[in-house]
Amino acid sequence: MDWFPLLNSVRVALISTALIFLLGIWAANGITRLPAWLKGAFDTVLTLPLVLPPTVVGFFLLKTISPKTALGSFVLNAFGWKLTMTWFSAIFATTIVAFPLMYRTARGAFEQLSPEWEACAETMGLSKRFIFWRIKLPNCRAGLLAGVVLSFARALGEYGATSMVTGYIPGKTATVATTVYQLWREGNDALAYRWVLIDLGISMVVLIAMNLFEKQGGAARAGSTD
Amino acid sequence: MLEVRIEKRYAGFHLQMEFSAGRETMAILGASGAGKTMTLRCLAGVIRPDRGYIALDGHVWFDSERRVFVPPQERGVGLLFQNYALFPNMTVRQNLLCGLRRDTPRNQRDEAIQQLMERFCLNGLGDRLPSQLSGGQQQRVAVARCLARKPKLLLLDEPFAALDVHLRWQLEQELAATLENYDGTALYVTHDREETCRLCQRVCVVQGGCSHPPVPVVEWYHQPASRCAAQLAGFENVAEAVCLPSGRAHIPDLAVDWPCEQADVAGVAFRLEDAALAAQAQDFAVLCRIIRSTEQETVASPVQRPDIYVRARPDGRIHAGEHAYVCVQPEKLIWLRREVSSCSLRQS
Repeated sequence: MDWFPLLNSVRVALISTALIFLLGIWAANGITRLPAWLKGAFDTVLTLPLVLPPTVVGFFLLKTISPKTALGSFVLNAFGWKLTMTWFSAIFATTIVAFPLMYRTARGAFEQLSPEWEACAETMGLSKRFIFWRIKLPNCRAGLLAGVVLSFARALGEYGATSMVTGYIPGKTATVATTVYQLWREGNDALAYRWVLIDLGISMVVLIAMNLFEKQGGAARAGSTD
Repeated sequence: MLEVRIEKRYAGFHLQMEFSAGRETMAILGASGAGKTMTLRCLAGVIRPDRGYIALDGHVWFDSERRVFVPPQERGVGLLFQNYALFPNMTVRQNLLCGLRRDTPRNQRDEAIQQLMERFCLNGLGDRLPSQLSGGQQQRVAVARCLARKPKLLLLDEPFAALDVHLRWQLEQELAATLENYDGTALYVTHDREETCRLCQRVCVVQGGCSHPPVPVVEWYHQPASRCAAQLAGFENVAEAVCLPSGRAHIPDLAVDWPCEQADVAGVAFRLEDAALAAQAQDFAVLCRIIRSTEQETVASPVQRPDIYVRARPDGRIHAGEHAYVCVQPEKLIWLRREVSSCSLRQS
């Protein structure tokens, strides 16, 4: 059995989760400072990939980064990188599709923080940077971890947008999700079942991990651990 | 010397505060929702007022006309929150470290924190998290953190609201000692008249977002100026009054006209213990039906106003359902002036 699809899926999911983590926290923290009307507009745009069919995301992506577009041809000519039909094309797709999960979870976590901590820290002369890294982030750790796990799971299982921007090239762009589809089309049910079982296993581990984080978060808030 | 003249509009709420305070503890006294906490936050710089002026000892912190706004980080105030706002992810020591001035040399920080811990009876608690402390200990940490930077202005937002009643008195003694040793201006937000009497020298009554001119606590307690001040001072009976040309004042709630030599009267107030039951009418009396008679008080309703309750001294001889005159000692009756607040000043 060729393990490439699993390695590729994990590689793509890890990289996009790292990106999503930073972008999601940055967006969630930034949006709390915007005036109400802008907040609503940004929130809609940032959450859109959650409700759009992934194929629509894939369509927009192709219309932005494929070598036929201005951006795609520029990157190809300047750096020699083809942005579609490569393994890392999947990172763009999964990052966009899974981003809203991190963003919304992080925003919820930030909103639940007591606004008094920030006010109090400001009167004590603590800098914005210190407040963010040492007070806000540690106190919504559980929420942020949940967001990371959710986006990782989503990125790992992404199919629609990924298949549009990476296609299916065995040993090059194949992921677990696209492999299952390909195997089913070829009528290779036995191998398809194996991949399905692997995917099920990973998903369950992820969900169990998330429940554990949530419990830990709740316990920390109640003050019985640490 | 703290000078405050600020205005801030919210949907459905208009904050207009005007007062000044010297090196003293001044109460900001008002019902909940009167704008007390918001005022403290404006002073700390966490909220920016729409218009006005804030200065401490000649340093201007906020001046809307000259576009001055000093951020909270540079004001150096100590703000004590109602629920303490201790950082839950940091130990007591780390919390106190946050409270120290940023320019404290590194080699002096440990010593400064040790001193704070001793002063506030926190020895041995340095490595605990706030969640592992009792309510009283949490408050001590919060007070210590607040005073760590030796603020020139101390803002206390209902510091006892989150504590059990039996703990309050003891911690109040500690805070009283702290405030006595404190060399600066302290504003004490509360709605409790006893805390005000015990801890503060002057009181600024806040009503619906508007401040009344500050007065000494003794004056507010015995001679409140307005109906709001009288209610906050614990007068059990407070009612509207209207001046009549005949040298009397009409009190609609009691359906009586009482002799009144003052002009510009807007209300009347008397305490429960200054009103007694009698069989015969006097100058300041109202005929009532007794509703309830307990060890603490007699509750009665004016015969002509059965919808109003008057509270008088307990009197075992009179029972529910009977009629009697509630008579107020003339020298204890307080005539109240029209509400004198920052709002009415500005409108006139």
